[in-house]
Amino acid sequence: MNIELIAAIILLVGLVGGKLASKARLPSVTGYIIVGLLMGPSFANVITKEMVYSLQFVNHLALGMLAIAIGAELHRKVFKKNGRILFLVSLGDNLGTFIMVALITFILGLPLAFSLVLGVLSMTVSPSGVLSIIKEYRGKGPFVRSIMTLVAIENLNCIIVFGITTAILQGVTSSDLQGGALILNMLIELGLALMIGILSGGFLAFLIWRKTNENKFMVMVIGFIFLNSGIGEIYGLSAILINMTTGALVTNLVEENNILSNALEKIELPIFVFFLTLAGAKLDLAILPKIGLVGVGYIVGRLGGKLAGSYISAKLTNIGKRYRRNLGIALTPQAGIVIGLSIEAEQRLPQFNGLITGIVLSGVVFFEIVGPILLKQALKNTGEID
Amino acid sequence: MDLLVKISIVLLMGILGGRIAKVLHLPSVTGYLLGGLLIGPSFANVVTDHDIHNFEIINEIALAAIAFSIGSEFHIKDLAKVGSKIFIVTLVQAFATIIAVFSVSYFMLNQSFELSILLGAIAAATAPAATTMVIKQYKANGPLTRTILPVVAIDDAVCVMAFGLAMAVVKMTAGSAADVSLLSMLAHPVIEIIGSLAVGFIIGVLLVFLGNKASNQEELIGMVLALIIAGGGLAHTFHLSPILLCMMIGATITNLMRNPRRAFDGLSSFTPPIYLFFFTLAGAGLHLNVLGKLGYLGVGYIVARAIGKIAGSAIGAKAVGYPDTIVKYLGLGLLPQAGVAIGLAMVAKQQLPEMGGMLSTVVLGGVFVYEIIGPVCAKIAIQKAGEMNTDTIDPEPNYI
Repeated sequence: MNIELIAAIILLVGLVGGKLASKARLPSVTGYIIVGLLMGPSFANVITKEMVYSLQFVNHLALGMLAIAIGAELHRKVFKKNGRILFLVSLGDNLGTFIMVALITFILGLPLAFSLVLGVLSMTVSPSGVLSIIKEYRGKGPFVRSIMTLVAIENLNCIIVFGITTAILQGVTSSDLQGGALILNMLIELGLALMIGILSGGFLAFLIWRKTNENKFMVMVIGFIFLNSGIGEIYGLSAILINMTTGALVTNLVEENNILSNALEKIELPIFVFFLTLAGAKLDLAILPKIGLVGVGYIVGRLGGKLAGSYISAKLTNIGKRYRRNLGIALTPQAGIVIGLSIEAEQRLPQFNGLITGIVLSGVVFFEIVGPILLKQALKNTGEID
Repeated sequence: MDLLVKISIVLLMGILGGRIAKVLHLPSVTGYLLGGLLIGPSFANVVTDHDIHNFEIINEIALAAIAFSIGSEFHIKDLAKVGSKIFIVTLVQAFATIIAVFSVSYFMLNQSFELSILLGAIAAATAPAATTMVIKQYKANGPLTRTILPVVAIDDAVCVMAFGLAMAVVKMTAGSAADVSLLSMLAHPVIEIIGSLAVGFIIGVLLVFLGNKASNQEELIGMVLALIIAGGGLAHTFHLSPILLCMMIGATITNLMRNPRRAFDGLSSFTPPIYLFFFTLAGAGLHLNVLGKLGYLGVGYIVARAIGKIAGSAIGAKAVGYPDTIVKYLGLGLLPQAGVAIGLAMVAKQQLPEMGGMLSTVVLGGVFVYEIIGPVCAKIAIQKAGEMNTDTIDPEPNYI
């Protein structure tokens, strides 16, 4: 079968899966991933590894689009108003999640390096998952706004910690790098990523000021996403961080809401369907027995860590009681970013051998089904949807 | 260099080329092509022939989308009224082009009969993509515009037929006819055309069925995209014409779907980056050195093709009683030539290696020239015919 047919099948089957899922009152994302799984090596084996490779650029585009969207949530106004509180809450939430997941998976017998990376990965929150639920149920209010900002901050935290962790692990596994050099390396990497993101963002902002027409701007944004991701790949920088920086800079320079997400809105669905279905297809059920208990541990750890961490840290601030209890529940969806990061982790640390992605994906399947339901409940509890 | 960086370079270079084209009052398509030419093997070699091959899927999607959108012009009611006229015009201009190129090559330049007839058949091919883009960019509308698109589309079928016939004749005269009967040689193009239309129709019906179930615009875009890509893929698997096939998908939903505009508009919101990429990459695929190898035959081929297209269109249009603007300018709008011609040349080269080298040199040279000047001619044609939507030419066309 040729590549066009495969691409068409992925897209079509993904769409149908999404439709079926929404008929079953599940989020569409769950549908994409499950039908992808059915087409992958575990079942039909229509999608093989080589095909996935030659369609890789769509994944990069999808991840870049997600990262830009998250970055765009980081507007300075939000920080000025209640930056300290949100930062504290996100820290507590992240820390709780990290500790619980790392601890539980380590106790269940994973090597320390694996547990640490899993702990970091568990910190991500899916922006598309959260946003789509909020949109679907038309949530409005202070709680909803805090949630959206928290998603951005927590992902940012995660990416930074992810950079640090993988750098250290890379250093430990390859003995030719020493402590000081390692830290320096990492700082240079973060600095470079920020710089590239700022350059791209500055240029895009410039285009917006010049009132570039819609289509041209869309192509420009796509062009810069590819440029950012490509440069990231060449120099081993985090593509997600670069794109996030771009998004953040644009929102802060241009006082216009959603200008980036509007530009990409028209092309986003087919690309995300494709991306998520392909992600499902990468999941090989043969590793499930190996994952088994660890997968359950990851899920339990993440859920427990989020609830406890956000509750404790919220208690230290003056956030209302009703909100405190619901923060952790609201922030569980997990999808694109974590898959992207786990793939990045596998690339940097080849000894992981697919196990990390497997665990993360089983977590994604769970949290994509349960996360939105929990979020919906949280919104109900706080009275921000009818 | 990293593949992703190359993608971004192609996109950004295309935009830059489009920008320069606007300053020079050229169609954007020409700008993309020239921008691509600069980063291709002829100059910077940032995008190599190997890369171009890797991006094949984007080209397929772009061509499929263009053919699909041409399909929207085929309303059964209109076709019943004017279909036979358009068909006659298409046949006449194709035939005139074949005769013109054949005569120049065979009688004036003393080339072999086989080479001449094959060149003639390939010369008849037109590229729908560039013309469609020019029409979109200038939001052209009017009798000429409404004639150009169907003619370009039907021309693809005519060309498939003509090329199949030419190959059959060449194989006969070359003496290898013993093992191939004329009938089976002729059946081949007929099967290709009918097969393309049949598969396109089936996919179209499927799209109507699924499209009516789509709950929103985005979902519909996804379905259209998936099915036209599938159409392109099937065409390659079964050696059908992707252009005819995808056009038929478009034509089917135009006539059967409750609200077909939704599908076409939806797709056109997705396609700008793909088209830009497609044309810029096509520019990168042009090799400047083919121009040097053209020789008398190449120049004769190029001139004869233009004469054949323009005179043939005029004769055909006059014969069926079309208005003057069509008689005068239809041929100018039919000059672009691209992938289809290259594809046919490759087939000929494969099956007839002894004359294939010469043939593909001439055809590639022709494609180079017509790909660059074709869109400009198309722009002039619709401009002279007064079918440009004046308020969108300047200052900022809504297209890229």
